[in-house]
Amino acid sequence: MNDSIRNRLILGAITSAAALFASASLAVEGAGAAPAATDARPGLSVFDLSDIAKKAEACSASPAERKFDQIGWATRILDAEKIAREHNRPVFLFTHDGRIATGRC
Amino acid sequence: MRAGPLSDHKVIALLNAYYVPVYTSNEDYEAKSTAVSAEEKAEKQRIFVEFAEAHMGTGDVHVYILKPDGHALGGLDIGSALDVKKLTSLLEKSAAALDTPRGDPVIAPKVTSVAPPHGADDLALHLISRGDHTGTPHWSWREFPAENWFILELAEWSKLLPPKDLPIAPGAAWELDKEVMAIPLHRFYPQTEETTDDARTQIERQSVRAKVLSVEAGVATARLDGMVALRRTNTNGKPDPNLIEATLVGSIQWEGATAKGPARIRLLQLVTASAHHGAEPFEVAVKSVK
Repeated sequence: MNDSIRNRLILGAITSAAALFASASLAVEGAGAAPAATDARPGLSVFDLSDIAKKAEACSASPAERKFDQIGWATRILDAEKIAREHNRPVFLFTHDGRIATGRC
Repeated sequence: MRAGPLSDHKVIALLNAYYVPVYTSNEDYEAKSTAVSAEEKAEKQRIFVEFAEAHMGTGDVHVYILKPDGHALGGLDIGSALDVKKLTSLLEKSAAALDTPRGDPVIAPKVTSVAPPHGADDLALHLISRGDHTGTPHWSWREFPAENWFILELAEWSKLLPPKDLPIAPGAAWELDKEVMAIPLHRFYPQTEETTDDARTQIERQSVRAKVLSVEAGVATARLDGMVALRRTNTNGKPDPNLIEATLVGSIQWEGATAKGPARIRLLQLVTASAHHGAEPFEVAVKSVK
């Protein structure tokens, strides 16, 4: 990583959303423009590229939140029934609304 | 269910040792859906009817236990299934009634949230959203982060790169294509109740600007700064009065920045520096996946 990338990326603090979203700021930026993120006021968080990656990683589901993936799921009812016949096992079928694997539709 | 009984070590062990587990999203089985085959839809309906006629309990959100021959054995309504003891008891009694021997999982466990199939020229983006889960009530959809996957085709992700006539050097700046960026930005909201694929997001304002930080051996890295403000409608169709707002930071790195040949995005990542749904903070991260 070169010096220019090492230059700290000064950003609005996570805890200072209200300040960053001040309507005056948005009005100055005008339609279609991103708000400037170079405010170096005391208390504002500082990001560099590795910080961004770390935050993306921190957002990810933890192993504790992925225990659901420890279950060997069939993808379809017919697949499950075929495997059940082959292995003489019962089928556990959970029907639901939404998307349990992602929490999103 | 996912963060409760289906994360319980005993339930997981019972399902893997004695059962063939499967979950289904009701939306995939609606008449208009093409997500599953007609035969698959018919089989789900057959199970539903068989349980109903046997007075064994049915429901949209429900646990059904089928014998190895596919016929009804038992079940639990969702209220009971959320009770780990009741679900464990059902699993133990059903396996015992069938004299099912304990064994290894017949399907290898694997990560369930993965990128949809896509081509080598496509760019896969993975989005993760986390809202506050410390208050009351403890909504079940806040018990784990929500995820979305987006597949951008070459013609789409190419629009995120700088205009052809822009000299690529530190300081060069441009606005990322709004239409393409709107694809992930539509999902910049905290976990919420979602029961259908209906589009319920309306972006009011958005902007993501890039500024080149470095160019080395044809690989350019640019910092991203942006914002998005959007509104959502609730599952009941009524507008959510709370505006969702976020400031964004990220980076984009691409090859072929100084050559006339084809370019390729190595990395695209964008995170919320700050984000609120009304007064409630949340976090979203979206990142390209190789």
